[in-house]
Amino acid sequence: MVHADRPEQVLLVDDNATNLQVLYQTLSGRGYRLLVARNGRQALEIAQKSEPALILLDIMMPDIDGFETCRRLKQDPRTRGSAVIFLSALDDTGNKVKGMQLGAVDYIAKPFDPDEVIVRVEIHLKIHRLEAQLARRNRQLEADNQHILAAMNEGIFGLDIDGTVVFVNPAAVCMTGCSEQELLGRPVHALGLFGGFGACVQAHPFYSCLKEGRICHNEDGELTRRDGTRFAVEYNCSPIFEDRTLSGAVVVFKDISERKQAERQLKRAYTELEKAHRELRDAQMRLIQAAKLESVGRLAAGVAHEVKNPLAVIQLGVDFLAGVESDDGVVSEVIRDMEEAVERADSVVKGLLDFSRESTLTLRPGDINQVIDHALHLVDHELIQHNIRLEKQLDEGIGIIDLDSNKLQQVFINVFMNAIQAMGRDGVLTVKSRVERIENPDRAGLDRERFSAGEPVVQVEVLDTGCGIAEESMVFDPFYTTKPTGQGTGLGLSVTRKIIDLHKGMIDIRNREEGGAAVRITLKMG
Amino acid sequence: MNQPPHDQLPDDAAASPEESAGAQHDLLPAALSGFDLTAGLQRLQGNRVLYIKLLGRFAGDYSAIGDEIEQAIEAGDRRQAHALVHNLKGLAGNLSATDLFAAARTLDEAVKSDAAEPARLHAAFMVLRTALDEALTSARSVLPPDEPTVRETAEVDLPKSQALELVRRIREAIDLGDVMSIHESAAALAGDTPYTARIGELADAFDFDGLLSLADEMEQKANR
Amino acid sequence: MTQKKKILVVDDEVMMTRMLKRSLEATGNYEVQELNHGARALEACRTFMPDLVLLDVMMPDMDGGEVAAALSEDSELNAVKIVFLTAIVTKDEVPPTGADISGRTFLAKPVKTADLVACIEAQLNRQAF
Repeated sequence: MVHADRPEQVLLVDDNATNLQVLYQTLSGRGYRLLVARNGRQALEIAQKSEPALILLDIMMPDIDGFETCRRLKQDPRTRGSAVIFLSALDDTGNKVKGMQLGAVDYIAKPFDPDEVIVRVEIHLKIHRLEAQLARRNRQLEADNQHILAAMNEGIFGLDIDGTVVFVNPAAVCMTGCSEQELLGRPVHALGLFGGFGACVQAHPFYSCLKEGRICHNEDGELTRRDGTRFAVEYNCSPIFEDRTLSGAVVVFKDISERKQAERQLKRAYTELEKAHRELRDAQMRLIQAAKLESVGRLAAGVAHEVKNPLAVIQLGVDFLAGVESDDGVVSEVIRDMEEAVERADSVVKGLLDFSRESTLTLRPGDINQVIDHALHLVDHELIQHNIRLEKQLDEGIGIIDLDSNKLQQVFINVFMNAIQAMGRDGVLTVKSRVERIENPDRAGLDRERFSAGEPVVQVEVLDTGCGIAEESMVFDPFYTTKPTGQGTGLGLSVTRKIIDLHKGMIDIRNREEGGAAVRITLKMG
Repeated sequence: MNQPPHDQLPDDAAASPEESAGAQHDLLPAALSGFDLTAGLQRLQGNRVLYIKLLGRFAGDYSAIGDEIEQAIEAGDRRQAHALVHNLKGLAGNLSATDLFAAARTLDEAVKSDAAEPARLHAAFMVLRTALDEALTSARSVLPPDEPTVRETAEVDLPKSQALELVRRIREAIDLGDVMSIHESAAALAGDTPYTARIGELADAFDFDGLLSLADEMEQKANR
Repeated sequence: MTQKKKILVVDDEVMMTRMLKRSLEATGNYEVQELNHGARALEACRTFMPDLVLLDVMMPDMDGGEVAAALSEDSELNAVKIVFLTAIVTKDEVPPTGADISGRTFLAKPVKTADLVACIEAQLNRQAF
């Protein structure tokens, strides 16, 4: 290799001392270092060690002549870089040509003209210098090139027309986990890297590129590494044309697993956002509902009062008229109807007041089964009248819980009456009570704020074999009623829910698969 | 560093032709029969000392070459004849022994040519013989400067470490073909001693074998 | 013939007091005076000297509670029995024949005449203590 900081060295080779001296004298003092060898072998040794820029070689030498020396110099990679000039008295063309063919750069005939020698030597030294610079520059560019290719975090495959891998960059080696040897010279479709298409050429994504010269692009591809792991890649296969003929393709691929992860995270965040939005909307609906109810409540109190007074007057009036003796049966009927009307009006008002009032519970330790039994007792007449069979499955081991027995009784009466009315004649009323342990509040349809996972609760179920409920969501709305006009105010269930609510429990109604409705009341135990 | 003596001036740019010629002006005549002194000196960058030395060596080494060539021709050994004549031609050229050079070239061609008649060969040889004799005579007339003899160096002892270092450097320089450095090493380590002159002389003559045996000799002496 | 008991009926609704007077006097057992302004209750009591006052609660000038309080503070009138007849209680909270709540007797409107009479009798027969 040329060392830029060392002075250039010129090796003079001649077996004749006088010739050497003359040559030496000619060239000395010109800035380059002169080395001397007495024969071909010495010349080879010295050239290997000193790596001169230029070698002036006599042809006629004993043992190995100049030509042979030159041949050997050019064969040895260590000495190949030195430029050779033949110096000889053999000045015919044949020898000159032979010299050039052996790799010499020039030929100087003896006896030489000193000026000529100097000029030629310096020209060749300059050429040598420039060539060295050029080589250095090329190596630099090559290194830069390599550096660029390596620095890219995109893997690059170069394919020939048959799909054989002819080039891989360091990133490709790194990303596939294969060594260069494992990749080069193999058909790309057999490597099983992209999409795992196996050895089938036609199915391989780059097939269309190599056969038709079409660019193939996949934003959502997958690369299988040597160890079998996979990661998301985006790849692009572009055809290479040489003089308008398809000669191969370049595949560039990029690891997009980070991007995909970011996408997934984005998606998750979006889903959560949606969920939060829904919850917010639901809360808003509840608030609106509560506000409506509140105004209803306030309305109710006023209405109640205003209605009750006239009702009271009417009632007293009816009683008064009833006291008036009359033979007219119609009068009696009228009086009876009026009484009934007053009662109904009163119960509407009462229901409205009940609903609107912020009731307070009087919680005392009690037995829920007892409350149920009391309520059943009160509707017993109705059950018999409608020929409804009662099935009771009350767990005696429930124990004592805090409850307002009066209000809960009201609740059960309401629920039972609804069930009876839904069944009309004949049917089965099933009442169950038990302790349940909630595994997952959400899945049980329970409010996660009231109930926690693993919490024991009392559940009462009332099942009927009636017509079921049409609008599950409306059922708890005040004034929603399916009962024909005159038979129900529709306030019952909303009051019921309010009472359950005050107990910090939950009530829900669902249609049964076998027909009819199922009312489930869940109460906290502690 | 010691200044080398004038008569052993190294062959580098530091020496100007005038300086080196100053002391030896009278040794090289203005003209020399059979030689083109101007061209010869020019080739040697005006180094008269060297020219004289070379002429002296020519006179010493090539006195018998005429006979050798003749013998080769008469023996029919063209290859040998060619080698000898070729060698002589080169040398003559370097020394600007113009007549000798021309004669040697003619004979060289004749020897090379297969179809040369013996008469032609013989005639060419005769011309060569004449030119050679003339050149040798001229060369002999020019006296080379005194050279220190081997005996002188044998009497002088160098300090052991210096001697061994000098030996090492000489061997290394020969290995690399770097003759120039031998002068510097000798001057640095052998100083005023006759070694410097002797080493310099051998180096100038590119007598590597001579240098190596001197190195061996010095090493033996130092390790004694 | 037993002395008819005197009942003062206080309610801001004229229709109400008129009907109550009719109903109660129709039993033949009571002498009923109407009053439509709660503020005048004290004065009316001093003049009429009722045995029992039937008192509405929700009245604009002076509500039933205040009247009752004033009566009980009066040395002369604190023996008079008081029954609240009011719309603000429901039949859930008060049985048809009335109930004692916090030492006071309540009846819920609307009320059947029979229940009203029963309640009044119960109060009148009570020993004052």
